[in-house]
Amino acid sequence: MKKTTFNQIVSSLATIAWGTVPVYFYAWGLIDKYLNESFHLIALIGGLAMMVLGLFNLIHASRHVSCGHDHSHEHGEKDDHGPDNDHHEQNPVAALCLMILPVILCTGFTKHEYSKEALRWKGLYKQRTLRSLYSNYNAEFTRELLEKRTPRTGEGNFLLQFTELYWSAGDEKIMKIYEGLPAQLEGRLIEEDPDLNHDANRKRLYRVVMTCCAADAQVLGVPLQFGGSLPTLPEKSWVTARGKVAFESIDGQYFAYLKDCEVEATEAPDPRAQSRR
Amino acid sequence: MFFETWLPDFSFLFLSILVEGAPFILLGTIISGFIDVYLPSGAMDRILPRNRSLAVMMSGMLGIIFPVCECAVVPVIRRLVKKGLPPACAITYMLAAPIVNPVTFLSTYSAFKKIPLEMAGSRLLFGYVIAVMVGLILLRLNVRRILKPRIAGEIEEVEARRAGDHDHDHDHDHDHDHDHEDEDKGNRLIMALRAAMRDFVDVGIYFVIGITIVAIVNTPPPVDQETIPLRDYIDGTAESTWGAPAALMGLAFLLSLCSTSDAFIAATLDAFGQGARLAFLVFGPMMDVKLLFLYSTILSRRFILALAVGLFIAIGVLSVAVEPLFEKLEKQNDPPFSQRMEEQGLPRS
Repeated sequence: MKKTTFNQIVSSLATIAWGTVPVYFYAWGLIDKYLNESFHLIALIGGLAMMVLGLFNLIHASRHVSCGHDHSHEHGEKDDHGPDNDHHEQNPVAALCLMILPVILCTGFTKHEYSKEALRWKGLYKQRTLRSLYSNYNAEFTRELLEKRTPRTGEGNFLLQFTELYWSAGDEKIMKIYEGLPAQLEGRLIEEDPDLNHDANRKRLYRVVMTCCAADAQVLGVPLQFGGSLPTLPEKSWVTARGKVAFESIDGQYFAYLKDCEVEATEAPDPRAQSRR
Repeated sequence: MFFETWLPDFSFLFLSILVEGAPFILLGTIISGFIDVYLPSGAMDRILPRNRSLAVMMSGMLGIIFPVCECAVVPVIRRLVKKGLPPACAITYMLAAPIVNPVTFLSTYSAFKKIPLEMAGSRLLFGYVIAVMVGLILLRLNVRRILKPRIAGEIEEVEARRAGDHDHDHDHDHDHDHDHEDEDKGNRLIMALRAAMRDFVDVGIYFVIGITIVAIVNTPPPVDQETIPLRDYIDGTAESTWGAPAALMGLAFLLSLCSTSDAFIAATLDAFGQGARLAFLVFGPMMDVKLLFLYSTILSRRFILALAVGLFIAIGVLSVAVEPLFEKLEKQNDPPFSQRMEEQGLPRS
C-alpha cells in the first residue's frame, strides 16, 4: 500500500470517528446532556456529514485523481492537488493519537453528566445574584401580579421556574413578594453541604443551566428543608418538590429555599418540551 | 479519585466542546476544499479593490455575506491565502467574520434585554474597527513575519508563477477545459472532498489540543478540592476599572465559547459593567485557547503572540473608554422588574 493511500485511510477513519460521536449521542438521547437544544440539529447534521466525508474519501482512498485546474499558472507541470504531490502529507500517527484515540477514550470514560465534585465546583452550593433583575425596578411588581401570572397546581402550589426562584434571592423587596409562597419545583436531588446543614434536615434541589455546551454550564441549587425524615431517594434522582418559599442569609449572602418540604420521584423532563413551554 | 471523577468529568467536557465545535470546523473545511479546487488563483484579486487599504476595509465586512464562526473561518482563510488573498485581508476577515455577521448580531441582540441594539451594534462596530486596525498594520509587514514559513513559501512560489505566466494564461485554460470537461467534473469533486478532509484533520489535530486545555481548566482538580474555581476569582474583579475587562477577556480566552452564543453567557455576568462584557464579546471570538492552536496552522508563533497582546490591550482600552457611555444608556433604558423577570429567557437544563 502506498504511503499516501495509508494516510488517506487514517484521515478518513479519524473523520468517521469524530462524526460517530454526535450521531451516537443524538440517536441514544444523550445529546441534551452535552449541548443546549439549539445545537442538537447542527451536531447531528455535522456528525452525519463527517461520516459521509470520511466514507467517501475512504472509498476513493487509492484512486489517483488529477485535474488541470490552475494549469494557467503551471504550464502543464505537475498537478497542484494530486494525492501523490500534495502540498503536505498528514502525519498518520498525529491523526491517530490526537483525533481517534482521545475520542474513543473519552467516549469510554464519560458518564454523560458531572460528578458530585464537579457540581460543587460549578456552583451547586453557591448563590449568585443577577443584579440586573433588581436595580431600579418600579413598584408595579407585587405579590398579586406574581400570583396572577404564575400557574398553580390543583393543590394550590405555584409552579415556579427553577431559575425564577433561584434569582429571587438578593433583593429585599423581591424576597418579601416571594416569601411564604406555596411553590412546586422540579429538579434533581442531592445531599446538602454539611456546612449548611447543621440540623441534618436538608437536601438540595439542583438544575444544570447550559448556554452552549456542558463546559459553560452553571449549576443552580436550592436547599430543601424537611419537617420530618429526609427522603431516601437515590442521589441525582429527578423529583418534584413542594414547600413554602423562604430566604436566609448566610455570611451576608441571601439564599432562597423551600421549607416544610415534601418530594416525590418524577421522570426527567423532556428538554424539547421544556424549551417550547 | 482520578479514574472515578476527574477522568469522567474531563471526558464529559471534552466531548461537549468537541460535538459543539466540530460541525463548524467541518463547514469551514468543506468550503476550503471547494475553494481549493474551484476557485482559480488570483480570483480574490479581482473581487477586492486594488487599493490595499480599501481591500482590508472590505474584508472586514465579508462576514455579512459569508457568515462563519471562528472555528470555521480558520480553514477558509488558510485556503484563501494560498489562493492569493493578501494576508492582511485574510486576517482582517478572520478576526471580523465571527463578530461582523448577522447570526452573532442577532444572538447578541436577543441576549441583552436592556440595551439590545446598543450592545449588538457596539460589538459589531468594535469587532470591525479592531479587525481593520490589525489589517492596516499588517499591510506594512512582510508575509514571512505573519505566516508560517511553509505557507509563506507556498504563497511566494504561487505569486512568482503568476507573475511569470500572466501573458498566456487564458488560452491555456480555455483549451484545457474543452479537452477534459467530463472527466474533470468527477475528479474535481473527489479532490475537493479530499482537500476538505485533509484540512479537517489538519485543523482537528490543533482543535483537540485547544479543547483539551479548555476541558482541563474547567474540570475540578483531582487532588485539592478546596481550590477556588476560576469564576470566583473573576467575580472578585467586577468593580475594578481595568481589572474587570482584563478578567473577562481572560475568561473568554479560557472558555473558548462559540461567537454565535457567547452573548448569552456575557448576559449573565451582570456583576460587571457593559464595557467589560463588551471586551468579553469582542476578544473571545478573536483569541481563545482553541483558536491559539487553530491559528498556529497558518500564522507564525511570534505573530500569534503579538496579535494576542495587541488585541488584549486595544480591546481593554476601548472597553474602559465606553463604560461611562453604557452606564448612562442603562439608566435610560431600565425596564420594569416584572418585564425583566419574564424577559430573562435564561436557558433551562
